[in-house]
This record gives sequence, C-alpha cells and structure tokens, in this order.
Amino acid sequence: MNAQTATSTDAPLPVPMPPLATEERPHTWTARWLGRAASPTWASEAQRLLLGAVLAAVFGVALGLRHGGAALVLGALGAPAGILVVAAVAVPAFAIVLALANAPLEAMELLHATSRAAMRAGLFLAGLAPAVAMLVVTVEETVTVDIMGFGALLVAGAIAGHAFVAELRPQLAGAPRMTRAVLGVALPAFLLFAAVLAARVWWLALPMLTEVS
Amino acid sequence: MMNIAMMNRLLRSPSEVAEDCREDRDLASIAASALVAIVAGALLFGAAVGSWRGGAQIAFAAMKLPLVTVGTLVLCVPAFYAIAAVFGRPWSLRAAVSIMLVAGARFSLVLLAATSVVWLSVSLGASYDVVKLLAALAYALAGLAALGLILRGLGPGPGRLATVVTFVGVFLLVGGQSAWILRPYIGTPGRDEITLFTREHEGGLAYQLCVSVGRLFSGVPSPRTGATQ
Repeated sequence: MNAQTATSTDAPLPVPMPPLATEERPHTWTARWLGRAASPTWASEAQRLLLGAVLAAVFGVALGLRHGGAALVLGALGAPAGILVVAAVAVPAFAIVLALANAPLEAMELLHATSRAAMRAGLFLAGLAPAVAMLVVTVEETVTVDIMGFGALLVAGAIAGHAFVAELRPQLAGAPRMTRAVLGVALPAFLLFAAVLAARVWWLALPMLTEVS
Repeated sequence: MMNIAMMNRLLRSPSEVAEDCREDRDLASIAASALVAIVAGALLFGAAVGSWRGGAQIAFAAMKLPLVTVGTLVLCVPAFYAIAAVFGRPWSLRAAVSIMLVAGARFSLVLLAATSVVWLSVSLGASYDVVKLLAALAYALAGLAALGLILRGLGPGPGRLATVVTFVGVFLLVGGQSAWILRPYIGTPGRDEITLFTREHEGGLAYQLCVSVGRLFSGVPSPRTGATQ
C-alpha cells in the first residue's frame, strides 16, 4: 500500500502471483474478465471496470423500457452509477483506512479487487436484463417493478461485496495482529458504507424505481 | 426428429448429458433433440389442458404452451450464463445454452407424461379449478425434474446453491409472467366465447392459484362450464 508497509519489520513479504500456465489460461469470455489477472495494469483494470459499468447499463436500459424515451437514457446512466460511485468514492476511502492500518495491500491489488467485483455485478445485471425487460413491460403493478428492480440491484451489490471481500481476505490474512484487528472493524464498515452509498445513488438516479402507481 | 435414445439418456442419465453439454460434445445433436422434445411435450400438454373447454381452445393452448416454454428459456439463458459465471462457473455461452435446452427438454418430457393424466381428468368431468391445479402440479413436477438436471450440470464446487437459488428465483418470475401474459389456456370459466388472449385484470398467477385452492377447500362450487361431459 505504501513505503511504510514495505519497510515495516512485521509486515509479511508480498506473495507473488504465479503466471497462469497455458492450460489454465481463460478459455471463455467470462473466465477472462472475471478471473484473476497474472499481472494487472491500471489500463486493464480500468477497462474491466468500464466493461462492468457498460454491462450494468444494459440492465438500466431494460428498466427504462417501461416508460421508454428519456427513461432509457436515465436507466443506462443510473444503473452503473451506483457501481462507479462506490469505486470512485468508497474504495479510495477504504484505501486510506488500509494505509493507516498498515495493511499489506498495494493500490493495484485493491483496484484489481474493485474492478473484478464491479465486473461480477455488471455481468449479473446484464444477464438479468432480457428477463427484466419482459417483466417491466408486462407487469401491471408498478410496485412489482420497483421491488424487482431494487431486488436485482441489491443482489448485484451483495455479489460484488462478497467478491471484493473474498479477493482481499487471503491477502490480509497475513497482516500483523493489530492490523487484522483494525481490518476486522474497517472491512464490515466499508461494506455497510458501500451498500448504503450504492442504494442511495440508485434511489436518486433511477426515478423509475421510486414511483408508485 | 426426436432422438429416442437421447431422450432416454436425458431421463435416465442426466449427469452424463449435462457433462456432454459442459464439455461441448455433440452439442448440435443434443440441442436439436432437446428443442423437438420441448415443443412436442408442451404442445401435447397444452392440447390436453385446452380440451377442458374444447374446440379452438385446444389449438390455442397447444400453440401457446410451446411459446411460453421456449420464450422463458430464451429469456432465462442470459441470466443462467451470468449467474453461473459470477458464482464460479465461467462457461461458454454454448455450454450454458445447451444445459438450459436439455433441462427444458426434461421439463417437457415430464409434461408429456402428465398429459394423459390431465386429459383423463378432463374426460371424467373435472372442474376448472381441478384442471388448473393439476396443470400447476404437473408444472411443479416438471420443474423439479429440470432442476435435477441443472444441479448435475453445475457439478460440484462452491457457489452451487447460490447459483441454483438465484436462478430458480429468476426462472419462476419469468416463467410465471410469460405464462400469465399468454393466458387463457384452459378457458375462461362462465364464458362461452373462446379467446386467444385475455387482457382482464385478474390479480396475477399466484393469486389465481390461491383462489382455486380456496374454492376447492371451502366448498364453493367450481365452474364446470366448458367441460366435455
């Protein structure tokens, strides 16, 4: 995470990730984008994050189909907004807490975990998009659309949160005891903050999910 | 044409068929047989259900049930592909599509088995509510058979339960709504005219099933109009 981490005597040595063997190379599109990168770069992680946002936008367009017109654009912008705001606001805040706790984690690893989590959420939402499109167009009661839309977004958020924690946990397991104690509080607090932040952004950015019939 | 050996494998050895799908072995033949089974099973089951009203309703229901089944599969394939991937099974789209198709075929084969039971109950003068609940029960059993194949298709490993629970939730919503928007299948009780679609507000699929259960157990007479007797 910082120079202090590198020079700290009780910090464990970073474990290098071995490059993928030929037979382990991703054989499908999803394996490529959801799997761990042997040597992540800023550009590749930004690309992954952007792809996750684009996939989430497909879900937003499906939500907008109930009203059509401007709602399509609003949906396309609103659905990825929750993911992008968490990546742009909550994750940097968490990075500062990690640095203060002297956690053995580089910024690139945090970005890698963030982009993979965003990709998971985006892919999940995009997969639901055709089904949601049919449902929002044909369901009679608006409240059903609201529950369905927010339900899908919350499940996507839970998937992303779980993926984020699952990615970081092994790397943080080797941290000094004091750091682990701080992270024991900081990690759940971050997840709660990210969940509330994303829910608030979706609430504001997706007006089609807050209307009542 | 329908490959009988393939259908036999689908019913007796779903694990083998699921593995073939995952490993991309002979997918074209599997998919073709599965599609034929899906359409044939749903068509005959629809005709049996529509026979409660009789006449054009038989043709309408026979035409609509394959549409519902195939339409639900088409809408749910992207969800299955994505859900399987995010929970640790990043398969190719071909594998996901073929697993869904064979699960759909197993579903339709169970419907095919239930066709004779539905037809017999109609022939014996069953009421509207009995036929409706019988059809729902057949759908539930068929769904369990399909679920068994999907579980085998997912194979061992973490994320299996989460994949199944999430996907079943999506499938029930989509399947229920697809079936609802293309109703009626049995016919509208108390009405003589036969319509391809109805646009009346009837409260939804779950509500209508509860109404039928309530009528059966409360002793309120069930509509019999349209029964062949």
